[in-house]
Amino acid sequence: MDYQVRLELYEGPLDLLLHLIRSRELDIYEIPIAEITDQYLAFLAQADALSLDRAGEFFLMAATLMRLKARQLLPRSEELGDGEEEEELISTPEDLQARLLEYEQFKEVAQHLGEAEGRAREVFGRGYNLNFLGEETLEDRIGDVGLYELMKAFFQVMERAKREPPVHEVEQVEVNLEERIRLIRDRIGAGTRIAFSELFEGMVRRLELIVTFVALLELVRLGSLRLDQPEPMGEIWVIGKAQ
Amino acid sequence: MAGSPPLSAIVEAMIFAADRPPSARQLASQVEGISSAAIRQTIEVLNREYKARGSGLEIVEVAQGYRLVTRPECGPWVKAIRASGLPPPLSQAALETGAVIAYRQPVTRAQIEEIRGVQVETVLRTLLDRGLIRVVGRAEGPGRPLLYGTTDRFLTYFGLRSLEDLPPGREIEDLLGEGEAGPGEMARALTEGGS
Repeated sequence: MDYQVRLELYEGPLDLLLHLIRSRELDIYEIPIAEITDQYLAFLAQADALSLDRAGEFFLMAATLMRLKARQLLPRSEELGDGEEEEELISTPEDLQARLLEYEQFKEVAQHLGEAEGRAREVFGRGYNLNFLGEETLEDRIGDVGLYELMKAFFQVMERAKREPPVHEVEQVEVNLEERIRLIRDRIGAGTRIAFSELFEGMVRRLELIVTFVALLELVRLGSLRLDQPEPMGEIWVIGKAQ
Repeated sequence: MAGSPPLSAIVEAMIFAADRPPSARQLASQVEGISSAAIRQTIEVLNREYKARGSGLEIVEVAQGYRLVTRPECGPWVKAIRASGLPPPLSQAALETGAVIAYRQPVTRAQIEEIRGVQVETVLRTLLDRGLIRVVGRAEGPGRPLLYGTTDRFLTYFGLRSLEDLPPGREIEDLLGEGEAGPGEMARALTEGGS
């Protein structure tokens, strides 16, 4: 087993374990914990350096395996001792087996999806790729805009504000939610519409941005305003409604 | 009525120019005295005609609607003539995460991470950005974590008519867990609830 092992090839510790079990034709229903733990650790030891964030997951599994191995060696009465029962996702070999089998099935589905994706990439609809553009979806919405899209737009506003240096120091204006709600409602009457980013024009302070955003959400909730995002990932419009 | 084009022409034209894939029911509602069954039959006839004359087009069903699309065999030439390239195919991590969400929706990030054994934050963002998954609500309990589900675009992206087109896996009970609805039922509940 001198070949260069590359952890990047595996999607995670479960993927690696599955590979070790399947390639050695071990019985997944009777996983030899001691043996698999040793092989897993040997594999980790030989592996190329992995990026820090991914390495953690592999080491957590190593710890889990060592715990399972230790439990197998200890007589039963000794293990559950002093009530230090921390919540464990995998506390028995049966747990591990269940997790591996479950993961394996999703891996299989992922394989099918990958093949389906490949086929779909060869097919095109009228004027644009039917797979990637223009399909209207029933999104979970705040008003008519998806939660994710709205948050994304707001974060963009915050980022932009961070980059703009304050032109001059204005006196600290108190930012009050009720007042902000009133201001926005006055600004955007029935039938008026402004772009989402326009709503925050000139604002630099984080607090002010946040209060304004909350005021906007409140007004949508109350029904004074509605949101619209006609193009996917495009501009979000804030539109006044007649009460 | 004299001068009215044949049904096949009307259906073909509607499918070609609709804003989004029309269902058989939607098509039928546009033509007086025609049922969904008749529409489906007409589409079958159209596809047979296309095939018979070696057309580069065909009508397919995705996400419960019909689309007029190019045949996969023509893929290379169509790609060459199109200006815009395709976005990169999804990573294995994205496919696995998508698979978990498709079967287990609504599902939280923590639940997905438990099944895959790895963190999914970046992958979730990719899937969200591509419009393949969406936030469908919040789970009960501490922190009220976000729940995720697949979108209609997920179906069109993979060329599926519905989640029921997904493979059942070796043992469907194991995959779905005890007492959970199948992917099809989940999808129905979500799309009905979302309108």
